[in-house]
Amino acid sequence: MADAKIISKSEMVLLAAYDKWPESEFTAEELVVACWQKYPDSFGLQGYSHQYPDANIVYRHIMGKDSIVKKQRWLSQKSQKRYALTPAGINHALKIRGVDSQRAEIQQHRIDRFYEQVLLRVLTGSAWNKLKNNQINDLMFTDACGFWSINPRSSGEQYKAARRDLAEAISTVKRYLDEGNSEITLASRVNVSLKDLNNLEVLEKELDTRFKDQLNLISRRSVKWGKVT
Amino acid sequence: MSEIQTAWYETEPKKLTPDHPLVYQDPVDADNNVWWINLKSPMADYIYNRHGELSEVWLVYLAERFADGLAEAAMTSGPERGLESSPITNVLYDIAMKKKEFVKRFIEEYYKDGQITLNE
Repeated sequence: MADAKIISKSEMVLLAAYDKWPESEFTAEELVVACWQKYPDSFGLQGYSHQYPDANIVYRHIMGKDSIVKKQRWLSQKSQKRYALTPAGINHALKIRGVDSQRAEIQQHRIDRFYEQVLLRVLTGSAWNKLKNNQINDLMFTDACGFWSINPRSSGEQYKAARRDLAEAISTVKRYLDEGNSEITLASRVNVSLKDLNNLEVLEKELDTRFKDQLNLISRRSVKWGKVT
Repeated sequence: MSEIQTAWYETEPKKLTPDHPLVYQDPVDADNNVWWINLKSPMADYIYNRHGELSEVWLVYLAERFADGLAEAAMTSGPERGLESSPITNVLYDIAMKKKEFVKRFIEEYYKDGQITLNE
C-alpha cells in the first residue's frame, strides 16, 4: 500500500494493471476490480468503499482525451473495452517501483523492440523501396497506408497514433545514433544510419504533401463506440 | 470497375495502375462504401480483354474481388475495431501487396510460353 501515499490515481491504475497483466490483455471491468482490490480507499464506492468498486473513477482514467490511454499512452486500447500495457506504461510502472538496473535494462530492450518493429515495417515497405529506387513519382496512397500502417477506413485517432509511433521510433533510434553509434541493425537484417532516418523524414513529408486530401479526410473522422464517423 | 465507371461523387472514371492492389479504395471511396476492381491489374486486364465482360471467368474474377473487399472491410470496420487495429492493417496490406505481385508474375509467366511455372 506504500504506492498509494506517493503516486497519483492514474499511476495507481497503471500499477494495478501492471501487477496483474504485465504482458496480457485485460478488460475495463477487470481493471476496475483490480484497482479496487489494490486501492479500495481510492476506487471504492462512496460510503461502501470496502464492499463495492466505483467503476466511474477507473473509467475516467482510461477513457477520454486526458486518459492514460490517450495522454500518457501507458495503456493501449486493443478493441472495445479491452486494453494492454504499452512499453511506455511498463517503463513508467518500473520507474515508480524503482527497479534495479538489470530489470530496467531488460525493459529498455522491450521498448527498442516496439520501435524496431515500427521502423522495420517502414524500411521494408513499398514507399521506402520507391524512394530508394528513385520512383518517388510512382508513390500511391497504398504506399502511404503501408508506411503509417493505416487503411482508407482508418479514423483520425488511428492515423494520429500511427504518426506518433513513427515519430517516437525515429527519435528513439536517432538518440541511439547520437550516442556515437554509426548504425543500428534491426531484427539482425536491416541496417539503419542517421542518413536513412533523415531520408525517412523526407519521405514522410513527401507522402504528407502528396496525399494531403486523403489524409485530411481520415484526420476528420472519429471513432465512437468502435464505429468510424 | 476502374477506368470505366465514374463514382457519383467524382467527375471522371477512377484511374488506377498495374501497381495498385486488385481491389482498391481511397478514403473518399470508403466514406461512400465504394470499392474499385482494378481493371489495370494484369490479371483483370487479361481476363476482361481476352474473354470479355460476359464470360464466366470474368464473373468468377469479379466475385472473388467482391469477396476480397468484403473480408477486408469486415476485418477493419466492425464494432470490435479499437484504436490499435494496426496489426490487422499491416497484415491486410501485406496480403494485398503479395496478391498483386503474385498475380503479376502469374500472368507474366503465362504470357511467356502459355504455361505457368512459378518457383519461389
